[in-house]
Amino acid sequence: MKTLCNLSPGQSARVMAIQASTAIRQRMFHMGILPNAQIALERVGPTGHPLWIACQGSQIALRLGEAEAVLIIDDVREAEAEAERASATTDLDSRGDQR
Amino acid sequence: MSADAEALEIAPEEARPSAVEPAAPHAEGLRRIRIALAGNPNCGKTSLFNALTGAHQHVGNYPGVTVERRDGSVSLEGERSAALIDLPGTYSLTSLSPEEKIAQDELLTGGHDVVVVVADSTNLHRNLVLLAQVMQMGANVVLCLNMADEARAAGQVIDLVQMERLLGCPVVETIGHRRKGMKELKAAIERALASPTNLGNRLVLGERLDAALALVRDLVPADFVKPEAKAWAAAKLLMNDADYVARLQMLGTGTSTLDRITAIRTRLEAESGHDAALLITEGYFGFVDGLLREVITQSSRADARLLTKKIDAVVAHRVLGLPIFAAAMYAIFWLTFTLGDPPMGWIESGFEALTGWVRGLWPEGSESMLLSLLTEGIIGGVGGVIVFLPNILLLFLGLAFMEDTGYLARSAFLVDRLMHRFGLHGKSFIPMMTGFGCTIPGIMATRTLENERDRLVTMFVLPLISCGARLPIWMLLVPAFFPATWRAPMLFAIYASGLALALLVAFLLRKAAFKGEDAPFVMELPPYRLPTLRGVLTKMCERAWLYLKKAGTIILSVSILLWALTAFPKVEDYAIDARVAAGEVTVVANPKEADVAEADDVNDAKAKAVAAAEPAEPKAGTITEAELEALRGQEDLEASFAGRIGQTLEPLFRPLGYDWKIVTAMLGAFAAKEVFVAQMGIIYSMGEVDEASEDLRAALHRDYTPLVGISLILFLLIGTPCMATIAVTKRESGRWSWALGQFFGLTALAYAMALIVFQVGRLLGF
Repeated sequence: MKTLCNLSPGQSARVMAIQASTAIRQRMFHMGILPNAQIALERVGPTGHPLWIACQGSQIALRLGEAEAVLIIDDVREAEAEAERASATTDLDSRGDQR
Repeated sequence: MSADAEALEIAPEEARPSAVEPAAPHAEGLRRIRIALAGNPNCGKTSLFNALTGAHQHVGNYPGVTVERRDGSVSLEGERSAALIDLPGTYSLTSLSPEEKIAQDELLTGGHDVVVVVADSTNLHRNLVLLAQVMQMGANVVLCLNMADEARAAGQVIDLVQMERLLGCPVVETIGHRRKGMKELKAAIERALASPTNLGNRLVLGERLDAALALVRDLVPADFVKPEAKAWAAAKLLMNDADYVARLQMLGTGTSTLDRITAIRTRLEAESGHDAALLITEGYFGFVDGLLREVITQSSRADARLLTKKIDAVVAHRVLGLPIFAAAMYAIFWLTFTLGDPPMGWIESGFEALTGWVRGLWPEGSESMLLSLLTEGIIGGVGGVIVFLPNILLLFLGLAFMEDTGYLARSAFLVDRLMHRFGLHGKSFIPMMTGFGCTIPGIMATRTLENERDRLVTMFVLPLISCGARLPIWMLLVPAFFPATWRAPMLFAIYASGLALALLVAFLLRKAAFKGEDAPFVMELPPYRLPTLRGVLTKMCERAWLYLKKAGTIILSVSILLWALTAFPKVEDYAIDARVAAGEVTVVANPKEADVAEADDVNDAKAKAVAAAEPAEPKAGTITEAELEALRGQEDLEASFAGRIGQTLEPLFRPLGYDWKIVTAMLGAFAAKEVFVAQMGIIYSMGEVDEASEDLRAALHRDYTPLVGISLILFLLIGTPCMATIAVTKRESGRWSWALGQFFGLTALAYAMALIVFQVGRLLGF
């Protein structure tokens, strides 16, 4: 399973789920890190952490622990899957597109 | 804004009947209108608050927590004034942090007539999620789109009329830090007061979720929350919020109600495949998305953050970032201490002049208790604190600048990895660096930390960082015990061990006191903003005023207490006077200081006096009048309460290698660290000395081994934070327990360290 830590600076992906305690999940949700949201790794700290990410218009720094909790899927694959499904848009996709 | 007025006419019709009592909430004379400001961190809420209230505000803390509380008053139409409260900046209203808990409680039980939701116009998607939550609470909302100039510059255009119509509440644009749009905001508040609304019904979170919420809503007991906030309580119960569930359980019928709510939740989660908390948050975001799609007629350009990105590419760079940060810190400290030096001198001479003037009120040579209290107790004690004011002002100016531009968050990003290893936060770094100058502003700078636990841990360990006031002690002790070649490494070792211990204690505190608690590090990096002079100066003055006022009151009382301890009881008949009377000692006139030729003889005489002062009484010989005074002072201190406390405590400190003289001097160090030097001077009957006093060093070298020196340095480095530290820690942590825990905890650590070093050192034969 890929997490935010698997991204290189400049890459972006889509959030799949957040596997963490209620406190961390809630905090991330309210910062806009929600399933289906597009997320990009902007840069990393001097030793490779923390991670500086961009998500839904916010710039946010995450520590390794929090970043590992964010499960992601490739944006590209998602786009391909979308193409396959053609015009049959599900509720999920349209919500993702809005963001 | 005539367009708004037009929209208003539509709005009340569309809004469902309000649960808020429409009967004149602002009826004159009945009760004061109450307004709350809610918003995300970094949305410019505080500058908006300042613009609305002007000087009519009070900054303090919520009882028992480190969360800042701002109260003010704002003048409305017709000479009315309303109480304005600035809620802590929060991204949401969960019960997961003290800030959010406070904001939530205030909104639910504060009885606010109007809640102004402040949103950063450049990041509405996230900022308006809070609006959705406040709407759910049934508040009478005014939406304030702040930083409208930045959004407009980025090309974003919002249809305010449409937004008012859709939301059913007044919407205004403001530029808080430039004080623009205040008239419109006040007018919007008036409109909300005149026709209160409950927007709870306008919040649409999705069919399935809304249906589940409606079911839970009907289960919420009548007096569980205020009637308007039932939808909010329903959402909290549905997402299984621990606080709300616990409260419901306490009610008689709570358990059966909870079972039914659990059933609703289980069904919802099974049907949707997501947990309720996520569904509700997604619902908020979905609502905001839908709203923004209707009202944003032109989105901001993609390159809106380009300048910020360009700056970050340099200052947050993986390699360049740290050197740039180091240079910035160096510049701030250099400015603090270089520019702060002359005013410090002026304050010192000002207090000296004041002391001189007070002394002049009494006939020369008279011994008045009141005079001593005024000059030594009050002016000396308070002056010793106020003298740091220039440094504090300058440091906070630099800090406010870093904070307001957004650079502080970048610096935290850069050093967080290092600090986190010790259980601290990236933003703990600056307070700790500040602590090398003075612990007090360091503790006050912990306000820049968002998390309560980070603040508490950082302020706890700050006294371990060797502050500027301890430098005179090291300057006295290090040369007294160590040869010249060892002095620089020793001084470095002192500072390094202070820093190392601070990190170690922070680490242990995190492991012990805050065990198992989550501290999510989700830090926002706001876009760079040019701070306004007014904004920065206001922040600086606020903190300086807090320092003066709160710390001042406690420091004044402790100064008086410490003065009394050293001044009483008075010696009636000095032993030295008896010896003079008996002819054993002859007193000669003071030698003229200008007489260079005699200088060496004077030193010899002094050294003789030193040698004579201890351990036995002075032998027959001649002493100068100044020395007579000094010897009387020594007798005074020995007989004083402070001296007696020192003698009483001596057995306790024997295992560390100290005698009563050191213990007595350490009592003085509690007032302010550098007082230790002066107290040692008095004990060794040298009158007024400074850290460069060779005589005092010689006396110390004679009486104590270098091992005692190391033990003493360790104790003074680690233990007994000064009273100003205690006072400020109490203030900033909001609790005495933390301040006293810090005092006794660090002193115990100091005792243990000094004990180990002294005993092990003695066993090894040093």
